[in-house]
Amino acid sequence: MPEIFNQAEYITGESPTIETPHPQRKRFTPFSIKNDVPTHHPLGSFLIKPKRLKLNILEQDEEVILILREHPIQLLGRIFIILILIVATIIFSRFTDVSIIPQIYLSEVGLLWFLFLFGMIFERIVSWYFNTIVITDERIIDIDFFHLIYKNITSTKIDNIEDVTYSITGVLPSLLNYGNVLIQTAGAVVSMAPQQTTASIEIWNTPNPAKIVNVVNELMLQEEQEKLEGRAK
Amino acid sequence: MEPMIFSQTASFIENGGIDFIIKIFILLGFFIYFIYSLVVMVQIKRMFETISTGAEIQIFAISIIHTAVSLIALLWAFMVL
Repeated sequence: MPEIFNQAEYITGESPTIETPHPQRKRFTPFSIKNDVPTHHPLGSFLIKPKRLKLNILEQDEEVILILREHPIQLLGRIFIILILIVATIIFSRFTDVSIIPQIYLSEVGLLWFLFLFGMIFERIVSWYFNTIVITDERIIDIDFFHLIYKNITSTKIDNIEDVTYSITGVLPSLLNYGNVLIQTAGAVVSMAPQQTTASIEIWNTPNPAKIVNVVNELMLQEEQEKLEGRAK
Repeated sequence: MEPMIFSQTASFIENGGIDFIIKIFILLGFFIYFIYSLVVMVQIKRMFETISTGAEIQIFAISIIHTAVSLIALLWAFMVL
């Protein structure tokens, strides 16, 4: 007699989840981040297996290992410029005789000016949020989003990577442990930007560059291992 | 006899022509900023369809408020100018 209902569902109210991993692939966690807790914070710049992630460019069974952004200290440059402009505006209005200009014009222009300054900060923060590098167990994906009108997504498979190097230069990067990572690929990485082919992916001003290099090296070794075992996709 | 352009210019200024040009520029500035904020909102929505790490609601809310404020500023400029 066929089962009319699933017993587990009847007891707990939840459908039992059956995990069916790809028959040839195993989940791999790089040793460099094995003991690190998966990240919950959505505004981080070094996210390890982020929980609340939506990414529509992943393939089936592809697992996100890391999501990288610029170190937040890079936002301070734009914010500092905005603060200087605000202070300059206040000083200008205090020490300049603006009484000859009708008050209504001053209010309108002042409002427009502060809206513009807010727009500058917002644009910088949104650009920072969306400019990401996604490292999965199969690929490295570079998402570039400049000035809110230019979007470019570049990806390269882990087994095309030939060399990974990092550099930390400067006082602030040394103190805060952020730097640049250069990933050299075997062939040209073709991006959607017109007439642009590059044989590398560059990750600028990212936190923990040494750890990123270790993770990528481990992923490269894992790909080699999978090829030898015949488990590669 | 002075050229006509001088008398026409003087007449234009006397009749509030400079004021009119300033108002046009201010309204144009608000209008362009409103269009910019709309473009930003649409682009943010499209980018969230590509990637999001969990802050889409907050960022999109700020973008909507930003667009609303720029629209209100544009309407206010129309009313007072």
